Amino acid sequence: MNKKLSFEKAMEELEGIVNSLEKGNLTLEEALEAYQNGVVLSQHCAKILEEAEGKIAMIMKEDSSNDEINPIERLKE
Amino acid sequence: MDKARIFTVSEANAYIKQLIEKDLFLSGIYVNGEISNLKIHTSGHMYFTLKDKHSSIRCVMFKSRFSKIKFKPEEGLGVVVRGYFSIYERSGQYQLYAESIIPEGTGVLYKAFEQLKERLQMEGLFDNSKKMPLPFYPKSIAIVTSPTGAAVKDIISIIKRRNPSINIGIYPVLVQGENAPKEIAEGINHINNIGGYDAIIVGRGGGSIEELWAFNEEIVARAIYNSCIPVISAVGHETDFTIADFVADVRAATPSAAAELIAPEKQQLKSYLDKIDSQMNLNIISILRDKKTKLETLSESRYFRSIETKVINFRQTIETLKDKLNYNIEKYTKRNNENLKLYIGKLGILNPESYLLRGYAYVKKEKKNFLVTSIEQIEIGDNIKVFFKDGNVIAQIRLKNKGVKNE
Repeated sequence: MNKKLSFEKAMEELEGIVNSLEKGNLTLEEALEAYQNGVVLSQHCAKILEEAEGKIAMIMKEDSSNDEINPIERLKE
Repeated sequence: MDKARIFTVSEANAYIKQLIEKDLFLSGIYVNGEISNLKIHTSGHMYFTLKDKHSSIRCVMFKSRFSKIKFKPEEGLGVVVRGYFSIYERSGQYQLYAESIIPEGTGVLYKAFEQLKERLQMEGLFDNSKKMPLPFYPKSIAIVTSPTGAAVKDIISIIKRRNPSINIGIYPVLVQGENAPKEIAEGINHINNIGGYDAIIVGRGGGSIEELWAFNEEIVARAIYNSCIPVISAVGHETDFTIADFVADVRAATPSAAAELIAPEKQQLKSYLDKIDSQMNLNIISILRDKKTKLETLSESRYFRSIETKVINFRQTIETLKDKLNYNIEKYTKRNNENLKLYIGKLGILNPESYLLRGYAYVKKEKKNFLVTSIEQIEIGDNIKVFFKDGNVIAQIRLKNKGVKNE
């Protein structure tokens, strides 16, 4: 499976798998294969959800010498 | 229509009313004047007269509209009223039904707003077909707004609360004043150029029409329209619509609402994923159970049992046939043995030796190895060999008596 698969796409595929399993018209082999794919997709989604805390940064303006995103202190919430 | 007909007062007023109301020009008109005779009724409706040096018009603004205006109307204040004309039938008084009122100086802005809105709409900048969907699970979100306002704090705190893993980039701009439109537009363009963001929130907190004006400028509208990254407009209060709102891919009523629209709630997604997971597990378990049950049912079914019975029957038949075969082979062999003995016996009888014993003799021509069974085979003077039980003799034929058997 593509590791860059978006959460949305992975979720979509996963829902599709659950639906096809629910319909119950798969052969045993198909069902097991779908299930295995589903487990991989689900782990992929879970991994995305477990990603570390994101950064808050100031985007430097065009006229500044540096186009990179410079981290600034977390704004007080 | 019968011209001689006499109308009632009500009919006359009703007729005039519908004449006025179907006039397109009068149904959406801007009127500039000064407020006088201002009365705010306990019902919440506002009654006033709009006048200039030479003339006056009765005006009414219903509570639903009045509650939305952002300044306090006062006696003598110059205003621009947008509304429609109709007749209050009970008094026959024609009135301007105000839908919005703005202080006089802002009238120019409103006109500019309406004109730009119409032009951009015609050009297709507001078309729904041009709008991009928001990403479902953005990794990074850019915010183009004032770095010191309440809006940015609201947006950050809501995004972080809903989904702490989202990266936030702030592009600081002035959100009001002369340079604001250019800075906002540059911000949107710049974020598009550097890339790496999945959505852009452009906005500021609420304010007067002048304060929000930057978001009604064409340069901002075009930057939003040209953005390859979905843009959420988040300007002011819920009731204010700016050009930016119309052209944005999604309009959020407030900056907080924008944050809620763009940041998927992690906890909610987690529990949804858990739900999907357990659903999937239940499904596969039920499929496996189904297949197992089916297998058991099948193996117990009459079809399989009848096959089993058939096999047993076949076996029995085979056993029976085998028995029969053995019996027959035995019988056949036995009979053959008997036949053999019989043949051997018969052979004994046929053995010429046994005839010799009984006194017969047989004849062969001398030096020929065949039996002579007829006088035709030999001539007078031939030598013959006569075999007896105890030897043979050589004799010579002297006489042939044809047809005579015994002497």
